[in-house]
Amino acid sequence: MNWKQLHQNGYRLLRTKDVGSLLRLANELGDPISSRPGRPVLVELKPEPSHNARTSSMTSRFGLHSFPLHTDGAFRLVPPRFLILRCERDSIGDRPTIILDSQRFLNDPLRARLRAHLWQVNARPAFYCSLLQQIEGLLCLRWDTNILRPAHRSAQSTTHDFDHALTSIPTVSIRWEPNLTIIIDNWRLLHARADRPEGADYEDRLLQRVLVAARKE
Amino acid sequence: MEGWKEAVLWEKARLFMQRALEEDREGPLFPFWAALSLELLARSTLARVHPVLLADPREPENILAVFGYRTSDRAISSIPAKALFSRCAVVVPNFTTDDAKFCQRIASLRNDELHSGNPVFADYPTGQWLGDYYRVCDLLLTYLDKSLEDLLGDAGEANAAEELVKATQAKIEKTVKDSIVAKRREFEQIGDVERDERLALVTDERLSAYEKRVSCPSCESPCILSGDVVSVSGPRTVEDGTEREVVILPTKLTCHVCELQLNGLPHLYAAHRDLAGQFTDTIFESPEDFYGLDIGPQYDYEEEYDNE
Repeated sequence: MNWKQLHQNGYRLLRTKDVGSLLRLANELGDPISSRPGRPVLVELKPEPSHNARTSSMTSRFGLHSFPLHTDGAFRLVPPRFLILRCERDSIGDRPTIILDSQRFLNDPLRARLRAHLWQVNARPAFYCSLLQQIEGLLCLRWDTNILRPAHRSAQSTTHDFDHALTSIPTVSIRWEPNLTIIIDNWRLLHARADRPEGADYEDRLLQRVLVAARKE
Repeated sequence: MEGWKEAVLWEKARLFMQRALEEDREGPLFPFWAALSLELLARSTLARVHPVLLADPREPENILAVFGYRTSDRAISSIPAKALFSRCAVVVPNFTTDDAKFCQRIASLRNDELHSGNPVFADYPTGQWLGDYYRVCDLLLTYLDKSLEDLLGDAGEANAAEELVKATQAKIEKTVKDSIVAKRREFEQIGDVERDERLALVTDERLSAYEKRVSCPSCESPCILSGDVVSVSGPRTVEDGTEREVVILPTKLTCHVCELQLNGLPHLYAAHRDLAGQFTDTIFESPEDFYGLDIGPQYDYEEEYDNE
């Protein structure tokens, strides 16, 4: 595993030939985990209309449209350390995944406020936490507008400033093609699904996702 | 019992502190939120040892629930504030029973604010409580490997809090030094006969458990230092019974010669840092005491056997 690129950019692009190599990669990174109890470690993601989706999922709110930038597993006390996406098929290839590196758009004062202020995480059970937390010596960014609410007045203005900062630098687009795989540092990068290709009435885009927890030494 | 986990309680303590800091420092909501934050900070502290320390033991189901076992859908209850802070006095180094009483006073005010029509916090100037508040927070935070900055979320607020703690300590130091000087003056003015009488009395004075004799910081006569139990060792067998080592955190100094009295660890530290050091006492238990045996009265007479 070439960790250098992952550390430098917060993501790494590579190719995996099948699900087996995807899972081997995940095991190399840490401990693969399922997104919710009882669900498999490997999840298939495809654009679907909102009425097909599980309540509180991104699809239930946004359907076939674009998703807002977020980190995965923000409802967990400790969000997954890495996220791996692999393209199984995408004959059109015009619905990229957008990524944004928080190290590039967060300045020190905003970083301090993200660590000091508190948000309510509407999980089951709900809990409070900061958007930026120190976990095992590393900073972990958590962001998901679906489930996070400012818990006090100062956090409201920080949310507004964070929202504004998200648009202050250009994002990177990952254009999918079969076997293309991306490892995302989920404590550092935000990601989102782009909107449906203009005029498209058919999509066969199928991504596979594995969440990876930091391995306990 | 996610809600009784250390990390979850800690984040809520931080939230309530943020809400406090957003309020007018002289208004009623600043002490209100600060009181709530202190209680959650203390709960987070006990949860670090184990969340079961938060379970109200009067209902066994509360304890089972901590380990994931439920026998009914009844709401689980935790210990009240008084028990909470008393337990902190056992668990947290240098957090004394006096500190527990201070925290309990704040919790009682919060209770009164919530459950009575009295405007309890309407006139509660920070000068009366904030220095000691930050001092006890700092003791709990140290146990959690955290700092005032972690709780307050801002270096400027943390610096101001640390300054206030120092000022409170300086105020204590001044009060203590003044009373030492005053008692020394009084001692120097008493006659030789009375002085000798007082000295003779303290020389014969027996020490109770958890007490130690030290030199009075005012008149330098032998005086008594006592305190709270920090820990008790396992029993060691000796002739006629068992002995245990009891570690004591000093909280009180009493001199029966110059009548100096100091209450609380910060006051002892201000008088002389050596007085604030923990000490060990040895307690003896007879086999009857150790096993809780009631052997019955020991008669010191015998029945008459028809003696004339």
